[in-house]
Amino acid sequence: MVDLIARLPGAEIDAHSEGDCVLGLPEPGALTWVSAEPGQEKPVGKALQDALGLGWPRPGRVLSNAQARIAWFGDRQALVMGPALKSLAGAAVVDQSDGWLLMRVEGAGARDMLMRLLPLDLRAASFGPGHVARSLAGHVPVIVLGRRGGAFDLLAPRSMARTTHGDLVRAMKTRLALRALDA
Amino acid sequence: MRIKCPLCGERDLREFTYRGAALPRPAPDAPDEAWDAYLHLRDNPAGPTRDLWHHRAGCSAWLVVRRDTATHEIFGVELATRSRAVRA
Repeated sequence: MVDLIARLPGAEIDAHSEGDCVLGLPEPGALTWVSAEPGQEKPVGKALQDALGLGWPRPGRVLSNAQARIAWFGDRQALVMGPALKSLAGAAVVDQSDGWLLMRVEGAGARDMLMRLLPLDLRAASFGPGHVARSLAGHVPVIVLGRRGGAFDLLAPRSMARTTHGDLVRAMKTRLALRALDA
Repeated sequence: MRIKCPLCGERDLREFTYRGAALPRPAPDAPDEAWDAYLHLRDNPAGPTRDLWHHRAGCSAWLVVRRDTATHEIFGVELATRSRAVRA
């Protein structure tokens, strides 16, 4: 048997800091995609409640406690972040831990910088802690989760993670350059 | 153009992919003429139309969008899974 070496999604990607904006690479834990069969959101939510203490999220929302986060992921879909899940009655359950890179942007400039890159209204009044959106960062489909203190978690597909990381670093630099011009 | 996804809210056109007219699917045993019309025959309206759009870079839902091709006004958006427009 060939002895393969496991590589993590962020193996060639580094944290980056630019002015008042910090890009970090926290450990996301397990990522499990859950797709409820038609009309099964309630029983699946109940099973998740029993297993993790969190139910089925409403569209655009994230439920979280100390050990886990459950993010809405589309119609009848959710992403469980943190503990691993094996199976749930009435739902397809797929381990996607290896498929996404989690990047965290924080600092006073994080919101402003992300709005340069994503076609989303991320102003504090419309997107904050407990909100999630699937959208585009450049041409890459990403998932954005709002955090406390104006921070954001960004999940980029592993195959496109270096592109999105590069786009984020460029957005951080461009924003600072434009601010310097205005000053 | 911006489309108000029933799940995600108003989003930019670049997140969506156009598919074509939203038509009721004929019954499996419908005559060939009905299937021929379903697959190939299209109106080309300068005015109100009803199309299928895929929220590809968003929630991945299929949407039925009623809009006006002449004015670009959007009258309504609903999930295809809950739409009568695509049911026979």
